[in-house]
Amino acid sequence: MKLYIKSSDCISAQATFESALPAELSLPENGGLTCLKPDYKKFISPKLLRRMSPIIRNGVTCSLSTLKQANIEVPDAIIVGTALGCLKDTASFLTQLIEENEELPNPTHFIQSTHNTIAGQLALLLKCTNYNFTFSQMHNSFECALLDAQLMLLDEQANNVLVGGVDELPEVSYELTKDLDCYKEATLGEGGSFFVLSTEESSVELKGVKIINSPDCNIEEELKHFNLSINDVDVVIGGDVAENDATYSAFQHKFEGKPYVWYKPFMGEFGTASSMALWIASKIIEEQTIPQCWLKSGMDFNNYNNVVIYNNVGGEQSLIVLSKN
Amino acid sequence: MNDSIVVTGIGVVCSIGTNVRECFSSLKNERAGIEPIQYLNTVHKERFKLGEVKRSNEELVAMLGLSHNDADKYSRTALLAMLAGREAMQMAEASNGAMRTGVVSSTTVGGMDVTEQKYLKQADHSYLQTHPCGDSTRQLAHFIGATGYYTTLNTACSSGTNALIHGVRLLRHGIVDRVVVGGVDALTMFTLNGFNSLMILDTEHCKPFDKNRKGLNLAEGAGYLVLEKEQDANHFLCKVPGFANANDAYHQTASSPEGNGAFSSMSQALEMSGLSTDDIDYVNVHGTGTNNNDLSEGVALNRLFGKGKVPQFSSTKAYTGHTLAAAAGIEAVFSVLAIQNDIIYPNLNFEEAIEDLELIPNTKVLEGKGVNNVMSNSFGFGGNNSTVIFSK
Repeated sequence: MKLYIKSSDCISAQATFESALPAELSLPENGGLTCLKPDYKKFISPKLLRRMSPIIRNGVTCSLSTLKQANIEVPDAIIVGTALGCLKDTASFLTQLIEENEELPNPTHFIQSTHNTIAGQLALLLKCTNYNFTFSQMHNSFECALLDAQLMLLDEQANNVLVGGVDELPEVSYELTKDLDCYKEATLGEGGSFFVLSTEESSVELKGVKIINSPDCNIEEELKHFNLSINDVDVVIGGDVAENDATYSAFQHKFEGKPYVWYKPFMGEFGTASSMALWIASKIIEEQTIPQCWLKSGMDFNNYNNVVIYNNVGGEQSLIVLSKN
Repeated sequence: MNDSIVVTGIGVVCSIGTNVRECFSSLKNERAGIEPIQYLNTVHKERFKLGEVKRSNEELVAMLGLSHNDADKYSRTALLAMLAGREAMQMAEASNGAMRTGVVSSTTVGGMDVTEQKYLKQADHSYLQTHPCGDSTRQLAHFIGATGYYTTLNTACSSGTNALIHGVRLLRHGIVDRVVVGGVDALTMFTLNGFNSLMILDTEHCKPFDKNRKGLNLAEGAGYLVLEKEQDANHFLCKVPGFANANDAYHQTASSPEGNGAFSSMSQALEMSGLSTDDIDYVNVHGTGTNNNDLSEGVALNRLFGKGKVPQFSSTKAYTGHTLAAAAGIEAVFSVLAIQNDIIYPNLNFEEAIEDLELIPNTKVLEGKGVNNVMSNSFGFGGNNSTVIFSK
């Protein structure tokens, strides 16, 4: 059975929402990258919106737009990946607890601090009583969600699954995490992407996702699982956070001469950043062109069949492969 | 995809014991673990009773054979996960040697126990390494030498069963040969105050399914099962014929009065198992002791089984307290033990049935009657409802 990406959307620091692959990118100034705010009110009532933290707003808005594009009112499953969940509400609740010495804190922050608030809010808004999962495995949170969606569709337990990854970067967590070892070279960011993964045909086929937890990754061997060789790959999308990111140099070297797309320097590094890479890959296949600003190396050649996405943060690695149908 | 799935190992740590043997002995002897606060750093020490694991972090580190110098590398959450995970794996090892082993764990607040002690107090933020939910799973996988895939679910208090559901998928698709599934949570000031702010904590010993129930007792622990395909297992403890996840889509924290989500997850799990309502010998209910949960779950039980026909049921949370993401893992272990030993546990502290429901849980240790099929419920915030069925 083949699986397809029927629709997708992305909320990020660039003009990606309800858009094609932007032809121009704004370069970040110092500090973390926050999302460009879409017109949330098009999707969420003002009353609900007021209570929602950025991760819930962005996750819900991106999901609703993705479902709308696929003409789906209620998906057969909702599967969300988030590395750190609702940080802003978590930090607010914790700060209040500590500063007020455990006097009765505001329950709203606690209620909304749970990682599955995004998927739960989606179920409520869509009146969707179906399967509802949230994965949180650091930098593979989105990949695990995608794998679960893929297996569920292959098992014929669903026809259309809403799956995505989302994280937020409130100021407090920027200050806390910017100096952590795994982020030293990176520009931190936030945002996410959602997809309708479907058994119904579209122009973008999801070949699969592979999660690799061992320190080594033999790309040639891994590609064999997708019936591909290095030669078959038309474009690769790497998780490089800087020009000379040693983590990806061996990987990039394997694909020398091919277009090499990067995104983290202008969309930011975070736990579910790779969900944005899948959105970029879908757009490349749909549009068959790559604006120059996305290319770290290589040239746009207007014929893209197989796209490989590689992510590696602290040894938690993943490969996602898409093909043109 | 319909390969029969079996349980080949179990491991548990909670307020009534640090391993399967101790917990089973407490269950049989009606010894609850809910007591005044000994370990958790909170201003509410005199006010609430908790289901604490009766070991300090230093003692847990020693039990795990870890170096005293490494103690800071682990959250209490990771230590509890490693203790229960190791026990489950040791039991399964005997069954089969070299296999690709995966881990699907779950937790609601991950390493919050470390974060809340250092946040706003320490300029060096390296303590945040243990904060993500995925950290305890990574530590557990490394500790038990599981080299395959690992991941973490966080669907609040239904998480452990959802970990099992994802684990079964991995087995059936050959992504792993064997998978450790379950959940863990350590007690934190964060969750204690969170549930207190929702005013659903009982300051006394909780009374699940009682008319005069006042709320839950918060607790900690970990529970894991090792799952394999029946064809790969040399011996097994029981089968896992059915499971389901559904959403109530009613309210972020409350369950619907009709128990819609609970009814869906129970009936879908039953349908998958191929069993009928008459086949279920015991239901290990979610039964937190809150007004809302027990009423909603009770309504769903009556809807599924028919009023007056609900099988023997009990909430073991009156023993252990509510261990959040660990609850489904711990109660899965208790369900497997019920099948192995033909025993049905009592619902401690029950006195009077909830009006209109006419549901009376089992109140004594019941032995000697065959326990062939056990249903276990776990429900959580976000309307998340899950059910799993274990069979002899």
